Amino acid sequence: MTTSDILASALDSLAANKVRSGLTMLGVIIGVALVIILVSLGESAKTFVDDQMRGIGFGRNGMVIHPGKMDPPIEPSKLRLEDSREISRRVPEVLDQVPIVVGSAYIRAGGQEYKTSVRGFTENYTELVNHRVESGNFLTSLDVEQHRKTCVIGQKVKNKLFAGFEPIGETVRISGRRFTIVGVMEKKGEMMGDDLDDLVIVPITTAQDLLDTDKLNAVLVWARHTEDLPLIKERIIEFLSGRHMRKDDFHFHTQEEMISILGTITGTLTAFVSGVAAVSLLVGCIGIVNIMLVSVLERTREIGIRKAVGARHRDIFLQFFGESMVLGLLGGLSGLLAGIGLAALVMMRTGLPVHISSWAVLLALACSLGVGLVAGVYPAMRAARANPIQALRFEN
Amino acid sequence: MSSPVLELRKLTRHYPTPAGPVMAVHELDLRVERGDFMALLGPSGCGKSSLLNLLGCLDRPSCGELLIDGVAVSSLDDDGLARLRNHKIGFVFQHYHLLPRMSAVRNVELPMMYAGIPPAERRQRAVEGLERVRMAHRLEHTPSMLSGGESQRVAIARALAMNPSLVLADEPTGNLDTRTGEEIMQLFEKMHREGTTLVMVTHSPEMAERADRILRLRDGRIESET
Ligand SMILES: Nc1ncnc2c1ncn2[C@@H]1O[C@H](COP(=O)(O)OP(=O)(O)OP(=O)(O)O)[C@@H](O)[C@H]1O
Ligand SMILES: [Mg+2]
Repeated sequence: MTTSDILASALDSLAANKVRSGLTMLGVIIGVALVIILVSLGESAKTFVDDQMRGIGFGRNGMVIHPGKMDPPIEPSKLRLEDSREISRRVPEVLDQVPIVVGSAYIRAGGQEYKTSVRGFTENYTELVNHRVESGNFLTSLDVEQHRKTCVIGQKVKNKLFAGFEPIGETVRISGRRFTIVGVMEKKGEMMGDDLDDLVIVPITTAQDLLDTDKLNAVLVWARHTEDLPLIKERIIEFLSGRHMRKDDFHFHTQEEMISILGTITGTLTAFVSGVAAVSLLVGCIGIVNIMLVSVLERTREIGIRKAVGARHRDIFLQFFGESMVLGLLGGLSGLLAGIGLAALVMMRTGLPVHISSWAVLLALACSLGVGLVAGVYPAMRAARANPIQALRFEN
Repeated sequence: MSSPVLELRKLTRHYPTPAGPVMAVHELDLRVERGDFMALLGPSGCGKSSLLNLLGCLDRPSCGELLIDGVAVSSLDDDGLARLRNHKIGFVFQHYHLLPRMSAVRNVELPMMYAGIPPAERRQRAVEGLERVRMAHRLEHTPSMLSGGESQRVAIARALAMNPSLVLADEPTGNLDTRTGEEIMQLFEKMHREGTTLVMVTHSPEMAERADRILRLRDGRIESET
């Protein structure tokens, strides 16, 4: 008996009971699909966050100081511009820092007006963050020192207010005040829900004037060496506490932390899903054992006939074992297709990068083969052991 | 001089039952030579089927010795018996015992599949075998589409597929009307003329008359031989 004989016989007998075979495979299908969907979604989300962070150039050596003790801050910020300047001066392990003020304002030009996001940065922003000027220049240190009313606009602002002509050198009104456009930022798209094209960047000092505040929304800090980040944290805590703040007036975010938080979330999710998938595969396995036992019983006479014409122990074993393997594998392949399809659909709908985890595919296929293997052994052994005469006499 | 196809030495088969053992086959001594056509006759329950199952290696004797082509069956394990059934023995059953989901030609291929004959060759031989029993027009029919006589002819083609030394038939015409039974008998006589060794169980003395040896059994023993 060749492998193709075994396969043909398995497919024949499964095709003879299509509905029953389909229902039997359901457990395996669901288990496999679940594994693929959830592992792929987890990996896709991780890639997404990674890409986002790399996208704004907030590298592994960077971190953010946020005001308050939690996100989003519930109490007003106590961080000031002097604090961020002092950090560079007092903590030598710090490579550089960028203070941030965020607000929103109406911007108007050529009779058109709309609300956009106003960001105050220092002149070193584009050197540190992967967000560059496309045309014109970025802000200068003089702009910052002298509270100049200069600005750099995002692509969306340019398209809305200056469709078709070069905005550099033009004047816009932000909250009624006259600003000169010195540059246009490159197109960047959305990063973690933040549209980096729909904004106007002004000197940090001007932004504070405009928004009538002397506080900061955040400070970006970069270490000379990534491994110094914990030390820098400690120094900053020490230094800021010495000034005018308590320890819970601010907190830190590093990329590592965010990734590890995401890791914990997806880890928990993965554990839960693995449990569901394992139960589903177990149920699938029991279903296959059950159906195979029924099939062996139904075909007792067939087994007798095959033995009478010369089938050996292993011929009968392989026939039923092959059937169980085909059940498992077909279930696995169906689950694979269903899982890939659903995962891709969810990713496209949610805007996550479409990514199918290759190890999940391998794992799922291995599982379905394993299920077919484990489920097949006992029924196939019973079939192979049947006594030829009793089997031939069997009435059903 | 070659060994006989079958040699029985005090061949015995007892079935243990709660009411004590049933002596289905009791200390039979017998030789069947190559080319013999032997009929087994006797009342119901006298042990004809039990004996045939022993001769066909579907069952093992309780004691005594059975030699097929000079090989002692007791020396073989289950797979050895399977190989023996495959290569040396062809069965024809009263109820045909064809595999219901397989076409006629695939049923005939079955013994050749277990013998490891490659697909193309076994298909060709199966078709030839079905031609010999005049079933070439029903190659792809499954058993449910065949009449009783046609089914039995397919079963005969299957029994002959491996050119066995011995064909065993247990009431091969028992389920057929007289005319169809006659056709099957003619096939057996043709097999006999072509040199096949045949042992056939029957209830009918007229059928038995067409064999060249008639063995009458009673209570598991030989009553007479003619
Ligand atoms: N598996 C078994 N267990 C117990 N007793 C059995 C078994 N098989 C057959 N017998 C008994 O052995 C005896 C011989 O049975 P067997 O089937 O060989 O008879 P037979 O001559 O073929 O009868 P028939 O002509 O009706 O087919 C019977 O008395 C039967 O009851
Ligand atoms: Mg009988």
